[in-house]
Amino acid sequence: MLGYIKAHKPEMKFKDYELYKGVYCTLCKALGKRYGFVARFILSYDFTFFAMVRMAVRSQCPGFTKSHCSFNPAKPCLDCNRDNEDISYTADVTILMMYHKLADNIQDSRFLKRFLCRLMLPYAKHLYKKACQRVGSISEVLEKQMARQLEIEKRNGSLDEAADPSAVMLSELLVHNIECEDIDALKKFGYMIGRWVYITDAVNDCEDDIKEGSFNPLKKRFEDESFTQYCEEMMNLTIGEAIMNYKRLKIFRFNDILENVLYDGVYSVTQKVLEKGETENGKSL
Amino acid sequence: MGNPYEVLGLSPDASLDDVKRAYRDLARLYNNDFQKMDELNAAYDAIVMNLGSKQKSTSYADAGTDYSYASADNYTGDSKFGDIRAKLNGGRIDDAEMLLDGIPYKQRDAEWFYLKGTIQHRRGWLESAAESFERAHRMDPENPEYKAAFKQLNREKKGDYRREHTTSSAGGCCNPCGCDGCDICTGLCCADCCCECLGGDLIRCC
Repeated sequence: MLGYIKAHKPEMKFKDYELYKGVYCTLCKALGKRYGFVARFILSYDFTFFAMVRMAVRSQCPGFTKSHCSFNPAKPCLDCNRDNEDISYTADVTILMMYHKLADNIQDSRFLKRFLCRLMLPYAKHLYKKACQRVGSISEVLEKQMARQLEIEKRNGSLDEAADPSAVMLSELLVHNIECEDIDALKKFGYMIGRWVYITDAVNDCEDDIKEGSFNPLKKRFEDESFTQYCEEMMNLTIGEAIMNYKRLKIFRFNDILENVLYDGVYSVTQKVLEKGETENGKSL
Repeated sequence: MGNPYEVLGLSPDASLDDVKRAYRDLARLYNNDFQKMDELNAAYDAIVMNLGSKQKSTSYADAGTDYSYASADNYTGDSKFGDIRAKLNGGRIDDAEMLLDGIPYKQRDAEWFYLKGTIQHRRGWLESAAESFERAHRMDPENPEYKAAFKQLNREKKGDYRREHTTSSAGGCCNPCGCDGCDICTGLCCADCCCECLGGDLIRCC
């Protein structure tokens, strides 16, 4: 995930922002504790959303305490209970995703970027192995889907096909080890979010991919006059389905924050990507 | 019912693929013979249940049974795809799709495209689902079922999710009746006029 799923600050309440920040801080600390200092820098807001959805569908409350940012001790922040399993799970997932993203970059990009990625690979692999020990079963799912992705790219699949592996991946990650009343809705919600991220990324990278000659499911439509409209429709359709499934879920907390992300955050990112003045991808890889 | 494998004309060690193939061929053959179809369906179900417990499939689509407009729950009318609809209702997406794909091109009518769209929708393949629904709707514009499915996805394409959100939050906690500052001023002006007509005065300055 690449920093597309994030909150829209202007529409957010202060109390919500503090909680949102708090989960982000806790994740950052968990990454530091489990995977070392450097790992902290790969955290993005996507994973904050991921952790919050998992916490929101559980009936028991995670609980927050007051704490301080470890980069800037003068800055206070909220801290989720350290032993929260969703936080540690999300930290592991962050590492897994980072490694796959890196491997994907080496496949796709050229020269400088590829070289830089190769440089980081040994360290990433070390972290990846560590994460695999903790969540082994889920890393198998990831690898299977990555292999499917490659295969689909090779035969130049349609948008639906190309988005499927990422979508399945996220839905599997989201429902792993969770107690939730409507697991089916959660699964579909995850699927649609994963699909949305994939499509958004494809829209964002379309021009570059054409220049570099790498795979992109939107390539064949890029010359069309209605290209932007088509992209917008696909993104809307996907997020619309995601929200429909979200409404079926029983949400115990963070509802305002999650809605802010789903309605306003997603909307502003959609507009930004479509306008295609280079989007700022937040803090992403 | 006899041995399900005999009904399908197979040996008991046939693989899942063999069973599917045999079932599809026979189903096409006996499409109009309801009694025979029931028998085939029962035999197929019995075998697949049995095999299925050995090799569990965990695809995303298998889990799904929802969406009133996209499922065939309320469907009562005549349908030549009754068995496919039954499979869809039971959440057996893969089986339904296999049967549907077995239908020759010439027989693919509006309902075929609608069912195809439903399957794609359950899988989350929204682009193809939207196309299939549109096609079904174009072929049979009067049918309310196809129309509802087509319109629903079309609304979502236009970014319906957002409009719904903004209206619901505007009519939310602090302003349930939709009465704003302008309404209050207008109301006061009217009240003042009425009072003045009757010789009184509500607002002194005007």
